[in-house]
Amino acid sequence: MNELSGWGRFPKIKTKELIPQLESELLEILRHSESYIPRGNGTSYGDSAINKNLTVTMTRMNRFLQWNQESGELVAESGVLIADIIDTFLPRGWFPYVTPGTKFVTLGGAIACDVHGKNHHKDGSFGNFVNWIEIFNNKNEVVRCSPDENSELYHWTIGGMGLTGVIIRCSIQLKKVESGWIKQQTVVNNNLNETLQSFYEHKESTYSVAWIDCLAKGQSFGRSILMLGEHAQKSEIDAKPANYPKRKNKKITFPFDAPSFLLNNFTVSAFNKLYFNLNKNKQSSYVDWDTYFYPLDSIGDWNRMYGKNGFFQLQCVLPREFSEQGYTKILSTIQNKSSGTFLAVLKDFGAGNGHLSFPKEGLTLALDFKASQKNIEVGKELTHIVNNLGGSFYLAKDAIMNSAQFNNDFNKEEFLKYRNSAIKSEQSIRIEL
Amino acid sequence: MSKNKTILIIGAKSDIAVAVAHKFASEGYNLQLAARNSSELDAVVSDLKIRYEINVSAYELDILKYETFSDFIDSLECLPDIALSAVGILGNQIDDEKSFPNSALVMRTNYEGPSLLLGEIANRFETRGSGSIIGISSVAGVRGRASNYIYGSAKSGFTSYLSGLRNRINKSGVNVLTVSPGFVYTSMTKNLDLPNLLTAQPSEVANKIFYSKKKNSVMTPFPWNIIMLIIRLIPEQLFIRIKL
Repeated sequence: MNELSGWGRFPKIKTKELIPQLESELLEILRHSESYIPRGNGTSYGDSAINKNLTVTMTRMNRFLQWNQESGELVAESGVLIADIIDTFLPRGWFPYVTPGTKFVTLGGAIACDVHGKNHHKDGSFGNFVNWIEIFNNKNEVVRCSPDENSELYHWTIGGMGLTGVIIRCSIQLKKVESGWIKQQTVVNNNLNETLQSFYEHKESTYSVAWIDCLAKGQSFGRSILMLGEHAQKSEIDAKPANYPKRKNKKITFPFDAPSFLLNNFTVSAFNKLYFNLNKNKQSSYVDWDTYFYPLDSIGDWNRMYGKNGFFQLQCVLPREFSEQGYTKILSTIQNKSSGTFLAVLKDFGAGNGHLSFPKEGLTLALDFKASQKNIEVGKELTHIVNNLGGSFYLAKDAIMNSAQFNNDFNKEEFLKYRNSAIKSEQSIRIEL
Repeated sequence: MSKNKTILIIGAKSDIAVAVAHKFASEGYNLQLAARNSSELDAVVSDLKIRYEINVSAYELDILKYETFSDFIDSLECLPDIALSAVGILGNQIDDEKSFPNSALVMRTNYEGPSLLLGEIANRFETRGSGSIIGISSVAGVRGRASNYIYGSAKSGFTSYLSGLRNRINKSGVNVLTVSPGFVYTSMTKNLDLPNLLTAQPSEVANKIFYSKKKNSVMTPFPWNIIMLIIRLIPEQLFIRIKL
């Protein structure tokens, strides 16, 4: 038995974990298991990739199978990491179309969670660039699905949290880039209204993300720094040392679990003030891809910052017409009730993709909470606010919802036709998905 | 590509072998991978080719069939610069000590096969006047212990064979390196409860091998040097009373 948790280190659950290397080994395991969940690199936050009975970790099935340098099509096993893809193909002029905030996610996990990046409003989510998927389905067969072939299975698998079957391999499309540098522009917004307006004004920007100061009050309520980005062209970066810079080494690693008193409204508020003031004078600069897309990857084990009990994240999306009303309520609730919300990130979503995908037209906010009974209560209150406004939550982050709180406006009867009933996660049991 | 050096990896399906393949490929080596049921290597072969843009070829080889070894070496695209054996099976001491066939399989797989094959390749290297032989043995070969002496004795034989080969051949420009890993997180050890500090990742062993190419012998990870020195020095009178 092995204790597993998601990136949030909450909850921690004992399970048997198997890590097959060959497809034959994998299929042997799956055919003889009555209850299991596939797992990628364990970077979803909660319990969506843990099953108490058996967790099948795919990280050793991590081989590139075919590569087309002309078209940018990559066929690979599902345990390949985005980091591997960048290390290998960026020097050849190709980059993932969509990447989440860590490069240590597997392809299988990226598809199952239909992950998004800072360019959702322009390019959509990861699933938009998946040509086909080969999956161990609910009839115990390996089948290929794509927009043209077994298309319903394809659309239920993208964002389907691994519940339609184990993703074995897939074909994805990469994006041609001229360099590994991002031209970053910073926009300071002094209150919530400006913040929301700012996304609208810069909707043509390929990448955009706002860091929002949750604890600022009064006139500064909802102030933020919006960071815009474009892939730099070759001609722009002559002065840079390398056209395709390599991955940064980890600068520091969090060596121990931080004591629980370290994060409180006072320290976080001080940090936020500092961060805001440090960034508000920056305007335009070129940053390497690793620093731009994965600032937190440079701090090893940063999840230990929240202490030994771990943390959870809530990420919601609200329909656009309720952005101002909803986020005002959410930020006020945090200011009044919670302790130590460190990271709050706001992004813009375009239309959604898979039948179960999280992204929907509107603004999305991600909030970290130290795992404590008090914060779980705050989380539930926020869930209530979001649900009342017709919003929903990202299952890759969730660790606390129950089935009533899970906004399941999808065709459950149809889903059950494609769902593999042997596959269950602690989350899918909790929210009855 | 033709100027690149080539390494032959025997027993190429093992975790250490795959890690070695990655390390040498990342340093620009072309690869020859040999294993039983070599079609299971298809994904590994395509992966290494795509990742490192090098030549990779796979060969079918049964380490128990020494009568096929000469043809196998002749069938290689070129005589490699380095030949490495990562062949090995752990067996199950308690079952194997009561079974001739099981014991013989462990002995032949860990000792007879790798020794004979590397020995023949060494002869070819000697004729050419250059080359490196690398044998992955084990710290278990340092002294026979109750818990795994069938495996240990076979590894011990392999270590001795490599030592003698080195002694015979080093004047002809051929290097022989014996690698003795301690615990490594691999498929072979997945059912064992291993102490973290004394257990290496396959990639660490691979790195160590790459940078020790010119040496005679190496133990990895580091503390095993000391542990095995102590185990070797315990007087037999005392040793027989200890459960190891």
